[in-house]
Amino acid sequence: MQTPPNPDSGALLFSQMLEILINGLARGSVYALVALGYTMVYGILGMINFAHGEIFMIGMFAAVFALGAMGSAGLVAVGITLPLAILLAMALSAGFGVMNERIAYRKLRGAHLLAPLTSAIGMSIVLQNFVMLSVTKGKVDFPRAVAQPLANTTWSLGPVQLTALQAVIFATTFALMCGLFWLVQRTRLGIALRAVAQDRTMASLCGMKVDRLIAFAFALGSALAAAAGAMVAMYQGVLRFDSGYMIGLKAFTAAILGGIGNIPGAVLGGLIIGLTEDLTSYTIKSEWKQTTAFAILILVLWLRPRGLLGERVADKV
Amino acid sequence: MSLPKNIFGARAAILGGLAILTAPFLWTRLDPDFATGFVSLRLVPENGIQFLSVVVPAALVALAIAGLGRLWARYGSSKPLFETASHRLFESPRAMAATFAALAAAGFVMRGKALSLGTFVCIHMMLAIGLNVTIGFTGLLVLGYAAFYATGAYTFAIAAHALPVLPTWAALPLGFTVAAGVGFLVGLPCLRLRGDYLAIVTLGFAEALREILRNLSVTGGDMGLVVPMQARIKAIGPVGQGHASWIAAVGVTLLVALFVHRLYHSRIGRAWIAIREDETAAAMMGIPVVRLKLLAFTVSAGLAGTAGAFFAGFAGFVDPSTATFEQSVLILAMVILGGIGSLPGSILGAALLYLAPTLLRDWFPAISDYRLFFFGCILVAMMLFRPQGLCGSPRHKLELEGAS
Repeated sequence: MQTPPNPDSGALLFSQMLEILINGLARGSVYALVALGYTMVYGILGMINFAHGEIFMIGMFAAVFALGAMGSAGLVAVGITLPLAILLAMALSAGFGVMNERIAYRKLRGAHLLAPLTSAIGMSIVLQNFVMLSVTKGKVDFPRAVAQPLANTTWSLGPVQLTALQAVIFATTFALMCGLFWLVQRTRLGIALRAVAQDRTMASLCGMKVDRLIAFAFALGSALAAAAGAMVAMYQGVLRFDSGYMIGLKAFTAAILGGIGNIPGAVLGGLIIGLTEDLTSYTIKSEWKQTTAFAILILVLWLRPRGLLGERVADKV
Repeated sequence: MSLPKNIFGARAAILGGLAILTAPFLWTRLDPDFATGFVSLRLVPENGIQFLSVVVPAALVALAIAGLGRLWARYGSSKPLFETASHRLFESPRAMAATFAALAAAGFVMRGKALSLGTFVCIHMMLAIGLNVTIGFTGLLVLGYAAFYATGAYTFAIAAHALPVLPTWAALPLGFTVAAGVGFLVGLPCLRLRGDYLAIVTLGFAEALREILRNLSVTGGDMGLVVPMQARIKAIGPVGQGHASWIAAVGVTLLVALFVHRLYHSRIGRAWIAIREDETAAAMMGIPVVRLKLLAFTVSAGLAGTAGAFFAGFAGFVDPSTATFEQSVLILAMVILGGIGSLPGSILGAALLYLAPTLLRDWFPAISDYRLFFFGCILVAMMLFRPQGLCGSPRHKLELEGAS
C-alpha cells in the first residue's frame, strides 16, 4: 500500500523536536540544581560529596512528609501546601547536609584524598539504608491530588504542550539559580565563600569563620538538591530510598561535564545531560540512557578533562 | 537560671541535631488516601523502636570492641592485636604458603555448605587483594570494581558456550586478560587526571556495563547465563566437587596473594607507593606516573576478572547482579576494614566481612536487612577513628590523616 506523502511531516518532526527539547530541559534543569551542590562543595573543599544524591532523596521524602503533616492538619490547598512543602524539604535537607559535613567530613579535611571520599560513600550508604529501614523498602507515592492538577493543566505553546508542572519546575529552578548567582556574586557572604574556596588558611586569617562558611555551603547545596528532589518526586509520582543514587551520579557527570567547581558550568552540564537523555530515549531506546551518559562522560574526560567551562588549574603543591 | 555551657558541647549538639532531623523518618508513618489522592501523617513509634532496637545494641557492641582494642594497645602489647597475628601468618611467601596449605587441608573436615562458603570467602579474598593494588598501593579509588568481576565472569561463560572444548583452568588466564584489557581502556582517559575522577568513571562504567549486560541477548539479559557443565569445576577422582573447588580456590588465592606480594616488593611496587605518598614528588623523581597508575589499575582489573572467571566456573551461572554497586562496596569495605595497603589486611577483611553477615543471617535472621547500613557505618567510622584499618601500619595512618 502506498502512503500519500504527509504534508505535515516536517511540522510534526519540528514539534517532536520541541517536545524533546522541553522534556529534556525540564529533566536537565533538575540535574543542574543537584549538580550545583556537587560543584560548590568541590570548589570549596576539593572533595566529591558522594552523599549528595542521598540528600536529594531525603528532600523527596521530606516533601512528602511535609505534605502529609499538612494534610493531617487539614491544610489541602495546593497553592499553599506545595511551596511550603518545598521550603520545609529544603530546610530538613539542609540540616542533613550540615550534619553530614559535621560528622563525616570535617575531621577529614586535609587528609589524603581517599579518606573523605570513602567516608562520603559510607555516609551515602548509611543515609540510603536509614530511609529504607525506617520508612519502607518499597515505593512511596507522591500525593496524587497535589501533582495531578498541575500535570493535567497544559498550555499550548505553538505546536507543543507545556504542562503546569513543567512550568513550575522551570520557574523554581530559574528562581533558585538566580538567587544562588546573586548570593555568590553580589553579597558579602558570597565573597566570603569564594575567598574560602580560593584559600582556606588565608580566609581564616582574615577573620572569616571557615567552619561556618563551609557548613553554609553544604546547607545551600543541600537545599537546592531538596528543591530538585521535591520536584522530581512530583514529576515521577513515586519515590524510593534509592531514587537519589542514579540522579546523583548523573548530576555529578553534569558537574564534571561543565567543569567541576564552576557554577555556570554545572547548569550547562545539567541541561546537556538532560537533553541527551531524552534524545536517547526518543531516538534509540530508553534502556540505553545510562550508557549514553557514561559515553559522554568518557568523551569529555578524554577531549576536555577540565570540562566545558572549567579552567586549567595547576596542582597546588 | 543559666545552664552550664558545656552540656551543649559538640557531641550533644550532634546527637540532638540527629534526633530532630531523623524524627520524621523514625516516628511517623505516611498513610496515602487513594480516594482523595492526599496523604496524611500519623505518629507511629514502631518503626523507630525497631530501628533503634537493632542499631543501639550494635553501637554498644562496637564501642565495647573499640574499648577492648584500646585496652589491648595499653596493656597487652606494643603492637595491635590484628596486626601482630595477621603479619605472622602472611608476612612472607613461605608463611603465606604454609597458612594456605593449612587452610586447604582444613577443607577435608568441612562439608557441603561450609565448603561453598569457604570458596566464596576465597573469591572475595582475591577481589580484596586485587582492589588493594589500586586503592592501597597506588592510592586511586575505584568504585565500580565489581564491573571487572562481572567482566571476567561473563567472559568465561560466553567463551565456554562458544568453545565447548574450553578447559576449566582456561578461566584464569582468560578472565585476567579480558578484564585487564577492559580496565586498560577504562583507565586510559581518566588516569591522566586527579585520582577521584577514576572513582566516578569506574562507577559510571559499572552502571553502564550492568545496563549492557541486561539488554544484550548474548549475555542472556536479566536471567544471565548458565555455564556449560564441561567448563565447571568437577570432581577429580576421589575428591568431590566441593573439595575440588575449595582446593582450587585456596590455590588460586595463594597464587594471587604471592603475585601481589612480589609485585609490592618490586621496583614497580615501590614506585606505586611513591605515587600514593606524593604524586608530584614521584613525578619529579622520574617515575612515569601515568603509566604506572595505568599498570596498577590494569593489574587490579585483571585480578578481579580472574576472580570472576573462577566464580563462573564454580557457581555455574552468571547474572547482572555480579556488577552491582552493592558488590563493589562490599569489596571496598573489605579493603578498608582490613587496612588500606596491607595484604594481610585484605585477606582478613574479606574473611571477616564475608563470614560475619552470613553467620549473622543464620543466627539473627531479623537483622540481615541492616547489613549494608552497618557497612556504611564501618566505612565512616574507620575513616574517622582508625584510617589505617585493622592491620594497617602507622605509616598508612600518617598518610591517610595527612601531614598537617
